[in-house]
Amino acid sequence: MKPETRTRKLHLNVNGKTLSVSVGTNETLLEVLREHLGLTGAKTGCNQGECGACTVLIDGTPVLSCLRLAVESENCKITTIEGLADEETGQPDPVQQGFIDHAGIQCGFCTPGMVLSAKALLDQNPDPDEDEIKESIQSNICRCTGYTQIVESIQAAGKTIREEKRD
Amino acid sequence: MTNNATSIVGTSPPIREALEKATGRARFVDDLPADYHVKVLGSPHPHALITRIDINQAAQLEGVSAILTHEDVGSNLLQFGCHRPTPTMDKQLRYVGDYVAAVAATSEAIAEQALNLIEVEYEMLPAVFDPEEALQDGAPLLYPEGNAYANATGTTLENRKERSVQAWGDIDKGFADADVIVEDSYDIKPQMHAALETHVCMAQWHEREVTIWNSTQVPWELRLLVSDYFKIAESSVVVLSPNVGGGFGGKYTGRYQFIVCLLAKKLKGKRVKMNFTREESLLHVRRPRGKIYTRIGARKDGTITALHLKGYFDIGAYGNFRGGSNSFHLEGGILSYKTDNAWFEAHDVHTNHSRADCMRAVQVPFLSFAIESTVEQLAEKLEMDPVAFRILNMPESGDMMPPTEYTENDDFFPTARFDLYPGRELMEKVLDKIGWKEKWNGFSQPSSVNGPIRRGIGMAYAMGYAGFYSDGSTKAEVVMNVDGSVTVYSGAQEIGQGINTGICMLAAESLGLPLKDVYLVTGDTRSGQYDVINARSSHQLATGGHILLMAIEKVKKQLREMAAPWLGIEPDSVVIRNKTVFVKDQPETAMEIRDLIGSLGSPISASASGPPGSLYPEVKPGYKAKQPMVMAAEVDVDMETGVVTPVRVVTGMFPGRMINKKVVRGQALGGAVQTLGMALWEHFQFDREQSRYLSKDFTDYRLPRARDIPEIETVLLEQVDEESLPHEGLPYGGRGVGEMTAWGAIAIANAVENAIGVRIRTSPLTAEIVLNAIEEESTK
Amino acid sequence: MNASPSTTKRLNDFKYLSPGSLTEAVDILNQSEKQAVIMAGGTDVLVMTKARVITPGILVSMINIPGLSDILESDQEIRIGALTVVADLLKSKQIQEKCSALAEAAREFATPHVRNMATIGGNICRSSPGGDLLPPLMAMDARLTIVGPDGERIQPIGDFITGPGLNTLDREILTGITLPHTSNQSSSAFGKITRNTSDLAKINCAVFLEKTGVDCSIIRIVLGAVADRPVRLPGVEQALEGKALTPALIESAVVRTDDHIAPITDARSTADYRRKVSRVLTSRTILKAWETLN
Repeated sequence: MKPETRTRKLHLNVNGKTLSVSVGTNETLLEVLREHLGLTGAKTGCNQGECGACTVLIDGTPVLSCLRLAVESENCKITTIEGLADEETGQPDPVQQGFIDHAGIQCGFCTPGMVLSAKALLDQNPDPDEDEIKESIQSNICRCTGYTQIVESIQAAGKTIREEKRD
Repeated sequence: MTNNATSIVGTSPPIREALEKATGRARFVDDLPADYHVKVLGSPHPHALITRIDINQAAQLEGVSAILTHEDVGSNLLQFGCHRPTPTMDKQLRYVGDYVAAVAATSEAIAEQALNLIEVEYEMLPAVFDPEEALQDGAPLLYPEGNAYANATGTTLENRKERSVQAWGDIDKGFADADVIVEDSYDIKPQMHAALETHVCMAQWHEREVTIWNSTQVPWELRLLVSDYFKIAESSVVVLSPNVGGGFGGKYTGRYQFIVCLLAKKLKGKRVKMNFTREESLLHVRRPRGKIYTRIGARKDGTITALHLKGYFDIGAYGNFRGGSNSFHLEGGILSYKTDNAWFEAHDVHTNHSRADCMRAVQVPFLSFAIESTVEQLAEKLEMDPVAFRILNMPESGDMMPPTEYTENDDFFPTARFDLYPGRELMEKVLDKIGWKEKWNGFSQPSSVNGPIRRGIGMAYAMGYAGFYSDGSTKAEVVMNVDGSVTVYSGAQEIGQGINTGICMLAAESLGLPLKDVYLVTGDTRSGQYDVINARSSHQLATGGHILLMAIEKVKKQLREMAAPWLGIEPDSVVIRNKTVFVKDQPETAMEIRDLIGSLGSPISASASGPPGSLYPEVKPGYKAKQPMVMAAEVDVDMETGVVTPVRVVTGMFPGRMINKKVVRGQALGGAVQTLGMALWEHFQFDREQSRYLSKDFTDYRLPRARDIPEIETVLLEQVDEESLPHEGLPYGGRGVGEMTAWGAIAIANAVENAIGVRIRTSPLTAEIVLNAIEEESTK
Repeated sequence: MNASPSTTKRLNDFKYLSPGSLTEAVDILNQSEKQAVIMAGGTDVLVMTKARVITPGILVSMINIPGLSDILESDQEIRIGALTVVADLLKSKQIQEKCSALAEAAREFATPHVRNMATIGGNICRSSPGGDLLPPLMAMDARLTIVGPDGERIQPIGDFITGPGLNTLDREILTGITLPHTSNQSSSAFGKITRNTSDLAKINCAVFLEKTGVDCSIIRIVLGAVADRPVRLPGVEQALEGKALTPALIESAVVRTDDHIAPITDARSTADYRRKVSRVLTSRTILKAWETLN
């Protein structure tokens, strides 16, 4: 008994690069990132869109990659956590640095999703208030930090971004 | 000599793994590629026998490589403490989700399809879900020897006790001496660990050796149990734990690791991985349910004369680690009050529910809920201020606890003095911060009423465990490289709590090194280190740190002896700092360690461990380390809907010395939010008619989200025993913090009582329960 | 089929189609009958498929069908394309001004990232008794534009939903939602009772009302998650129509909520709680809508 498979060749724009990959038409973007492209930063926390560990940005907007088909992810810019740090120097971007410096990371499993959600917010609004910050990470569950130091990390990142903009 | 002046200890550098975690480079076990994927068929029934199982059709599905059923496996040891051989897979299924069959296939999709092709017939058995019912004659039996679980240290199935007791004084006399007695009962429902990373395990065999990658809190325990199971040397078992995405007590050794190893053994040389779905992780483990009965008596002046507590803990079908209540693990909660007469009794009982393991703070959430709720009622009956009542009965630094020798001591705790125990100071600071004096209007008197919203304030106090534990099974090694930098080999296990960073900061401080010159080898049982308790019991910083500093002292001694003749002084006058050695008070004499040892020299290394068998070492002769905890909360209760909204939380603890301040604060804040979840939203539910868990996913097991959290503030007290050197007692005074932050759901329940005038004796305090309570009260 | 307690599986091996036009999509539905499932944002269909609540033989994605995600206002009405994502409902000034109940429901809908993906059409066609967007749409008397093999038809949303997860679609696709123009003496409000934030509703409620002079001339009240579909409360409406609303009047009117609901006990709440608190939520939502106008 042989299971049927349906595959398609996709060209996905991930972190500014076009990646060609042959995938099943029933594979989610999360599965393709993790299992075909080796981009394991996005995590499988619940596979139902409840926990946010699979968050990626599509054209700058945060989405849950476990609820998106890979075949529907062409013709858009996908940003994963691997795309944030400077490619040559490895220097973390201000959002990542905020989390590093302000104890926004404990076990690290929610971190890629959290950072991307925060980045999407700060790209739109580099001076959010506390409620706006909490709303921006409302899709992302963290079991370790209790969110306060994550909020502080995002506030610090916002400050850095605003200062960089002034310079 | 004071150890208060430090340059690294007490600062807040980022955790060692911060960069890799922030960039997504940190690898967790499911990020590692595998050749085969495992899916398990779970029992649809809470209690049943497999009468027929046919895997032939499933085995023929292309891509299926191996299938296991109960016919293929033996029993494995589950836990450390009471050695019960537990069937890895059994013909008798004991809970919904229990393992019927396990399939390894080339993809998860194929493994899932194969499950559907397995034919199973079941004979249903009567099931029992309540721990008290499970102890009655005629209750359905999960095991031939009965449902009571052996739960005390060092017992076996043969010499097991059916209950665990810690007691002192004469409890009957204590009640006879009481002027006022309050009795009450509580039903604390299970909370799920729900770490964001699900359980996952991968194994690969080479000839007679096996490598296991596991998201685990206890790699050394896993190595021990796997070597025993397969009858191979421990040195043939390698456990690797690259990163762990949270544990909270839910990632010990279960049966699934053995299933993965068995399948991998059949598929020699191949990497075989099982990644739990969210449902499977939630189904796999939880905190026990506790049905607790209290009876507390006091004299008119408020002195507690008798404290009696009995608990029945539902540990599910496959309880672990010394039972679900863990008896009264490290005395947590039982030494909160200094009374002459006390009796704490625990019954750990198997039921047809998913397995229970201890969850962060173990029995303290249970005991504190019951005791702090009863104590409130006692104070009210005595017409005594509840804060004054607690302060009157709280132990103090230097107190002998218990006041007299244990008369019943199933856990072999030593009777010793508390070292530093600033309970009163902590309570005053926490209550001051929340504005207790201004806000508390009296028992059951809300602090404000605004239409249907009543605001209440509540608090709780408990004694938590801290300090040393099982130094006899903790080992560390330090190697000073020829250039004076250091490699630390630690048995400690990082699960996100920051222990790796703590260990490195201790090493850096002790050796006068910048943090970047300390490298850590961990998460790999080939390192030659050990810690069988590991990420349990908040013991790694205090115990592991202490052991580490002992090893470092040995290295320093060797280095001083090597340097002394070159510097022309006695070894005692050699100072070690920044990879140099120099004469005390004469930094101009500095010599680089690289030149001292030389390229033809060899690294200086030393290891340390506690005396074999040492379980409860004293922090100094005659003294044990514990810590007071205080939590206060304000809540709003909507009297028409029963909805409880937390408004403010102040959480207080006594870390002794914060090695990394932001890490400690992070533990306090994170623990406070888990406490809110336990008190209000996290609801373990089982539908008996349909034999299914309603709390099986994050849609219905409500974890706190960012918008749920109120303002949370911390009070983190520091006090250090001035007399001891860093390596002699607690490392720079650090006592261990991870768990003693997630214990105080009763503070929220007491705040609700203050708001609505009704005491609720269960958790979580759902709106349904609160509204019912309000209505029942209003009809009186 | 073995009932394994695990509910998230890999997506089954469906045939994936993404037609470029409505006609094509309808043709596929017409020819494949029950095998084909329409997918918009995917936040319901993919979750249900992973749980094997549904097992689509053919997954028909709407992703390539143009022109269905605009919000257009005319003199008479606001037309919302069925593929408008919930996040855009939130952002729309027209929705905020003309139908605040819908905007409020959108704000409390799931979580932000879900809102970036889930569509209004998807929520309507899911036809869940507790769907958050349904009570506001029903209270606003929304009309649905549906396209099928026999052409286009319009149906009031109240008639569209026929049971839990059931509706009148027969090889058809929902393309748009029309909200009729309302007077500037009208207002709407939404309320929801949950366990914690961003939760499915234990109970949800929407109220639309119109004031003439000092009286409430029109009132439509909808409760969700307390029956097999969202329900109007005619008994309560009749008690309030034509009167100047006061808290006391509302209190006495909401007693009649009982006649129109049939709540159940489930993972989220109990039948008893829902029955009791329905009244509370109803009266608070009515008051909220009324106070906007006064």
